[in-house]
Amino acid sequence: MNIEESVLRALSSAPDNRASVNELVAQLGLNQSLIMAAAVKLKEAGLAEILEREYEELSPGRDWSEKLPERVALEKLGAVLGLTAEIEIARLPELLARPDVRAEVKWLTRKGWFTRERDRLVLTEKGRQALAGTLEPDELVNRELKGRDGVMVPELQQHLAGVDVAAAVGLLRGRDELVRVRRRVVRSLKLTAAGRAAAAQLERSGARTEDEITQLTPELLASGRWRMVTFRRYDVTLPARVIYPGKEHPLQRIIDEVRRAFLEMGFEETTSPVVESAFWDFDALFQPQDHPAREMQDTFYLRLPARARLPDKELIKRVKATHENGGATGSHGWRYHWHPETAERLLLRTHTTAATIRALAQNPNPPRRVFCIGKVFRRENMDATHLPEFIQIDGIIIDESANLRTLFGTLTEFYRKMGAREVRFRPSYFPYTEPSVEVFANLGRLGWVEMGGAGVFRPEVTIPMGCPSRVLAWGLGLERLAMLRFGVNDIRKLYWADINWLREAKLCR
Amino acid sequence: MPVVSIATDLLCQLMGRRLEAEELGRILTELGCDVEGIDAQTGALKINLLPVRPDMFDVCGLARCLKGYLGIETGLPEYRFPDSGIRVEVKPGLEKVRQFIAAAVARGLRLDDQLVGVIMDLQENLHWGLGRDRRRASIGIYDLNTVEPDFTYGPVLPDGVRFVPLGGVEPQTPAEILQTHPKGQAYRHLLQNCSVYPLLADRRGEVLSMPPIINSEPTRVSEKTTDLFIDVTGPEPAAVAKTLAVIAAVFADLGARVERVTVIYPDNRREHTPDMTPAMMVLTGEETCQVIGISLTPEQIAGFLQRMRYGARVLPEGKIQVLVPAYRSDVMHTRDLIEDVAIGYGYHNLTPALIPTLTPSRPLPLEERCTLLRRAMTGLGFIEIMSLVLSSPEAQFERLNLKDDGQTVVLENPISIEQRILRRHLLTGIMDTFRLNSTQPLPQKLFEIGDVFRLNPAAETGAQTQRRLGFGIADAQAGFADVRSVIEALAREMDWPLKLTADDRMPFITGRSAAIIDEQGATAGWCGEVHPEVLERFGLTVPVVLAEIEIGRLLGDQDALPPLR
Repeated sequence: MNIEESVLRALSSAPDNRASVNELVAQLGLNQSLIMAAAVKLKEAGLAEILEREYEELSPGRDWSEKLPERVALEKLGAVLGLTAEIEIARLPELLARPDVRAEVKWLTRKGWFTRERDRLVLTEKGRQALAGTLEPDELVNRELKGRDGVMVPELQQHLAGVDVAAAVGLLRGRDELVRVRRRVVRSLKLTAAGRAAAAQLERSGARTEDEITQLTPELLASGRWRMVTFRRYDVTLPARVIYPGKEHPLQRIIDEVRRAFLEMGFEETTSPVVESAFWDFDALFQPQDHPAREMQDTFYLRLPARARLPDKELIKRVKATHENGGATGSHGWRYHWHPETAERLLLRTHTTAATIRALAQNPNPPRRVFCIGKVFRRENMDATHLPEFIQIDGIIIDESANLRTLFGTLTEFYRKMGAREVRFRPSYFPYTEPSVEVFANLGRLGWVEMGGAGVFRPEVTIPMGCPSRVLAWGLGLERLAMLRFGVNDIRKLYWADINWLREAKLCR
Repeated sequence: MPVVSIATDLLCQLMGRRLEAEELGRILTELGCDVEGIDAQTGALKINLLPVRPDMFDVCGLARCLKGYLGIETGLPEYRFPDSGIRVEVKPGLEKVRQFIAAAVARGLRLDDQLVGVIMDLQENLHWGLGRDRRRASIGIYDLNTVEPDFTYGPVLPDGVRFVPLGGVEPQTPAEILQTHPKGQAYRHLLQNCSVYPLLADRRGEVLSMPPIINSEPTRVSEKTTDLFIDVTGPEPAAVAKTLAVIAAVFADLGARVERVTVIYPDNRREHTPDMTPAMMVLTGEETCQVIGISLTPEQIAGFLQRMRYGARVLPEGKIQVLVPAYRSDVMHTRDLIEDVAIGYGYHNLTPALIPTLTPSRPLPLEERCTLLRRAMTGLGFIEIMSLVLSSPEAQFERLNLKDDGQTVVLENPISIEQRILRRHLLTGIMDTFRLNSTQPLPQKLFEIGDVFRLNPAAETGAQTQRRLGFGIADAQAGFADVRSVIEALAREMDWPLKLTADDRMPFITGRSAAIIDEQGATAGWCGEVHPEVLERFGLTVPVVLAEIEIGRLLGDQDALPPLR
């Protein structure tokens, strides 16, 4: 069936044998240019005439809202009006939370809801009705625009029978920020006498409408009847049901990225217990036993289990000597008495450096590169940027060519893999590295962000472990990276997940 | 960490060179200062203090560093102090309290508001940094003209003396001060369990102070004060000496004539304080170049050390002899000197380089297989969650009608009631997420792969970690068959020979839960339809099915111990 026939048929069943191009578009599910092409053909055949008429079209303006501002003001005032039903104009800015209320006063009085008496507004009978829910014509018209790009005045009049749409449009004209009123040319088609005859002829010839189908079925395919039907056009621009794939947690995706980056750079992955001894968390890293970070204030200690087994006696001896007087490291040490009981205490590991130092102790011989991604714990109160538990990335490089420059090179390479444009280093201090640096990455539109600490392990750390070469080390935060990347401004959102957020968090940025 | 405000005018005046605040901030950052910003009102630099560099807590110390770094004045700052002739005699009896004291005199100061502020800030910050909140070192500063040397430092009984504490009106005994004076209340823990308290008094017996608590009111320093007496006390000599060295250098930099004081200990040992003798170290050029990764001549290294305010000269055999200023407390190894050479050279001037050695990568098999498992779960339409490891017995046991078997890791010093133990399973995290999302569209399919913990006396640290998979489905039609089909799909995809056997247990409906049994016949997990009583407790009005599987061993983790519960 060709398009001209469809149009002819549609017009013959339309009231007054007449329909606008838009109505035909909607009815036939064809696009506007196809309809217009058919219209021109029908006109040339003398079957239809093309009429043009100008109408006013209303569309939502920049500040459009379902309620006009004076309705919002009326409702706010209604809530505070006393028995006298009047209110001082001077109080309006406070009540309406707007510094300039001139427009509201103008419209409240123009609508006849209030009269102005000197410095006061007095509620009128009409105002009472409005408060009770009676809507003015311009409000009714305004409400019709919800969810629409534009509505013609005739359509509005059709929806709002008995409402003076013309007057309403008059009121709205000039309030461009709320409702825009524009003139639009509307084309419609009307059958001529010859057209009516042709349509009747078409009807009799019996082109069957049921031959247009919506759903292709196995039955149609099996029987071969699909050859005798046409498929109704769909409006492919309509939205469909929203679906989401199953997804990994955003934090896990970053963990995967970090793992891949380090594996690509020739690192081996390691792990260590979350329930850790003070020895591996602090002492092995040359943190003196009275260091503030070791206090109950900052570290979670355990009631159960309470004591760890310390590693072999020789290692303990070397660590003790290093703390007390430097031992064989060339250092003068911290100059205090080191207690094995303090090192036996159990805690929740405060950094994944506990994992990398264990890896170092297990095999201190170069060349090695080791990384660990894991949970760490600090005794901090929860807020938008702090949790008592979070994920850390630690790495070490045991190598003859380990030095400050190769430390910078390794971390620069790592953060480039993670999407940073530029990486910078500045001097810092950590008890177990010397030199120590802080790492900053330029994350493009997010600017420079502090990413973590790094350095060269102190000889007081490496020599007691039997390590013959220098060791580069770093500890970097993961949540920070995730929060920046996924635009999360409250770290708690990562662990108390809103399913919607998990569904929406995009796989690809 | 405390933040100190540094007046840029005074800093430039002390440096002898005018620089804009921004420029100063940039240079100080290159030196390792944590510059927080510039105060919009006063133009002062705000700096987060680094506890290991107490000599950079104040404007004088910063000026000293900047002068070196900018080449205005390099090398070891000379501090030669004459003897004041004043003595402090230490009486026996303080051995278990705080037996060490060092003292100095500073004369000819012209104090104004700003300088009084600088000195008070320095005193407070040294109490924090070197003094560890007065425990290791406590500083007293007095108007020398209000007291009569010589001095005694000795024990006093809690009610053995009366004096007016700083800020007070009435004379009080030491015991009363600890009870009622704000400083007494704040620091009395430092004298806990002591039968005697330390007291510094002059020739007439007038009290200067009761360290580490409070000075006496009559010795108070004012703008009219020109001559000061300064003491530092503590339980160990190093922190006491370092603290006084920092203060003495600052007063000398401010133009005071600093003089030494003789301290006589009960064994007749005499010390002349402050001791500004530099420590000597020898550095090799080879070691320095290896750590930094650049090549420098011994002369260049000595030059950078001088910029960082060390004394440095090249010895005939090419090594570098370094003199470390007495006010530096962070230099304990030649490596510390090398860091300062690198800072002197400028971290921003170092070109990054890659390690030339090849090392093959080795992922942990457990993590690799968990990645596959995640792929299977997301393919089955599940969304991953991550919940906290810290939990409470109520959340882990009571709310799920489970029994606490006493095998849980328990914190000694928890910070909140909700976080007192390490989690034993993943089910609470999943149920909590359903609770938080009870108004969201159904079905909801969640999973978590994470570690749970239990006591194990055989383990080195007394506890063992288990890797588990937990998942749940919340839906109007959710039933046992749904959870079973997921377990069967996983068993197929991951090549796990799992069987389900009837096993009634909480938090499930009786007759609708199963144990998941592995090849060896051990229980690897549980699944079932959650009991309505539990659903109600989580505020859920939709059926939920849950499963949890111990996957460490299933995934071939050699270290995983048999699952227990």
